[in-house]
Amino acid sequence: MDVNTEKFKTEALKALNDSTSRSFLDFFLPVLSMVRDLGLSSFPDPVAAVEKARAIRHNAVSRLGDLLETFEKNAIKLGTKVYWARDAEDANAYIMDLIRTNKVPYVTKGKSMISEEIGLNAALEKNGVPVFETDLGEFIIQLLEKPPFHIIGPAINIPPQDICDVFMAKAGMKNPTTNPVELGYAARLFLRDKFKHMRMGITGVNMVVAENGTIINVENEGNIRFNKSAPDIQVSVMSLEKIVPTMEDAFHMLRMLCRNGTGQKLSAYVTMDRGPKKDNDIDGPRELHLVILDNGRSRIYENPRTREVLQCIRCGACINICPVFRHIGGYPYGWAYTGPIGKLLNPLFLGLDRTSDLFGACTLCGACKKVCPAGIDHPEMILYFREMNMAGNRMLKGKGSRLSQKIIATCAAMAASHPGIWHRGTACGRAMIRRLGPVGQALLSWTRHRDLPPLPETSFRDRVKPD
Amino acid sequence: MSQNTRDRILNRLKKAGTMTPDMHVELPPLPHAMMDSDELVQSFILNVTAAGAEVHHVEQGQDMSNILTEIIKDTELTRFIVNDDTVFKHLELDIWAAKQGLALIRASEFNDRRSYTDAVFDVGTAGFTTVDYAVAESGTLVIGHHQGHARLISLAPMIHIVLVRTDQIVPVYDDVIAQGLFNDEGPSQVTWITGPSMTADIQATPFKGMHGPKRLVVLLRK
Ligand code: SF4
Repeated sequence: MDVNTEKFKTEALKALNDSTSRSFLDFFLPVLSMVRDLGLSSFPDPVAAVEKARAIRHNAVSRLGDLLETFEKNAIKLGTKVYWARDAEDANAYIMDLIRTNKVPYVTKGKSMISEEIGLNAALEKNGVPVFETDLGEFIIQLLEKPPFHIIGPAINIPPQDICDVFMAKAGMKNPTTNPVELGYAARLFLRDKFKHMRMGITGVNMVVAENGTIINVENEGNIRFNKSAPDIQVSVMSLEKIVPTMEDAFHMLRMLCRNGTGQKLSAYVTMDRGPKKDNDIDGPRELHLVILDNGRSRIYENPRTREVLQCIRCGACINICPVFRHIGGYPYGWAYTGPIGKLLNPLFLGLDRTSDLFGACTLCGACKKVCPAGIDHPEMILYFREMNMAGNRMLKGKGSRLSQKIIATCAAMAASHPGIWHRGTACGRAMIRRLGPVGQALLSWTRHRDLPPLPETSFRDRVKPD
Repeated sequence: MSQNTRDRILNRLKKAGTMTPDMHVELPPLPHAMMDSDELVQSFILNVTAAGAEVHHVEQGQDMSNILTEIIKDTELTRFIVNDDTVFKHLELDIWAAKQGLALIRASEFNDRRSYTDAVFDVGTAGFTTVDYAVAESGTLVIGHHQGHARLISLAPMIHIVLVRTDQIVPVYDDVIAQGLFNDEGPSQVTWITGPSMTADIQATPFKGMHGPKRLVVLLRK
């Protein structure tokens, strides 16, 4: 997947001027947040339910190594072939190798964030293997060659006319229509043929269960079920943190994931794989491969300040509530992950230097942290990134600060720790800013994206000081 | 390559180790855990209906015939594919199907995967299955897939009809764990179905039958 995180500001400006997408964001995201709240209200104690989920994720991540080892043992016992992939290239090469060995003519895919992360489609297409996304939204954006707009509705903002045009051109649709339901059925017809003749299906993984080797997927359309039922070979790709210790934990996380994502008690289909099909089963995959992907996560894990991000279950609740995302949508984030969780994951995978506008564009309002069922403190990590970026942290690829910034920071630190200098400095600053006037202010880079309200003649402190 | 990678990853994770003590949270049980059997049935019906399924009560074979006759009216259905369960024989489904001119085939009767796939993907096919359990807390149907219960019959057809006995309804998901579906020799896949296939991916317009069944019809019998 192309990395466009450095275009964040220009893309955000474009998004702010896109009235179609804006009207969707204004309507769709508050509805999703509302159905989430409604969904959670079906628990006898919604606060405890969220706390329980946070505890499950915290405990699972803190014992990650042991859990993965137990899971692997149990999964292998069930006949699952486990492959540990160091990075994107390693994972893609393994899948490509399976395709070659089994002479697979094309592959179909269920929606998965991780395949965006590793750029699987591009890697397969480069090797001449056609790839068909089968989630409706993903299918549409694949044909339109666009990035996902939203984690749950990747194509929710696309006008029906654009979908009609691309379906006529690339998906065999005969009669033009802008009716969403008819467009959906056209996609059903086209993809049904792919499902019927498929040899290999590729999916992501929502979670795996250490105690018994189960692999779990959650969806509403049924495309993931097809990808796991119709082909000879199933390839599931999981990021290594998607694990819970027990089935009981898995059930609680399923309750939370579905309620937080779409407000449903449970999504239409939850499938739990227990190895490949048995010899006499008429359908199901003959081979079940599970790729466990690191791609830098074990490094993220080593740092106590970033480890928490691995608790995420990709429910989307933080994205729907974020005031920044609600204005700009998903395109400006420029890579696989968007919204508050994108502001944490993209910098960790790509480096702080290429993503500083992402974690810069945050007011630290904390709405994300408040809704997160996985217990992630987004604002805290964003502040850490800002600090490490200025400090030029090598592990996280921080940019470092310019000489002018260093001088300003040193002076500010000195002033802040010496009250005399501070008072004289602020009095001088006030006088200077008052004299600058609006024209002068416009020249300051600080005020380019912020308003500097007119300053009063005397400071608040002077006014309240007892005579 | 994978072995080296595996060892390197696991070593790194284990070395970094636990940094904070485990968190413990006690949860009050869901109300379903305290319900009697009638309340469970009611709760199941409420939830499965909210998820978009149709529910019909059947007392005897005749009720079922009437409902099925209604379902197939104005459709192009030519066959029902069912899982292996003696209840279909007991309810004389074969006699009803023969009267309607419909073929009734068990998925396990197909000799090869190709002809099974052709049949199950055919527009004239409806899937008719039983379940292992149904869960009241969300109106969910639980099916373990094995030789006698193929995966695609509840997925590929436009209509999935499902027979649920009221004594198969359990309060919450956790009640299913202990029942053998998750033994090592158990089914290769366990599917949890809550409503028909659906999407709202275009303009947030919801509709049923995106890839799987458009109609999920639950026949509930004592
Ligand atoms: S970080 Fe966001 S997407 Fe991840 S679990 Fe928390 S709320 Fe959900």
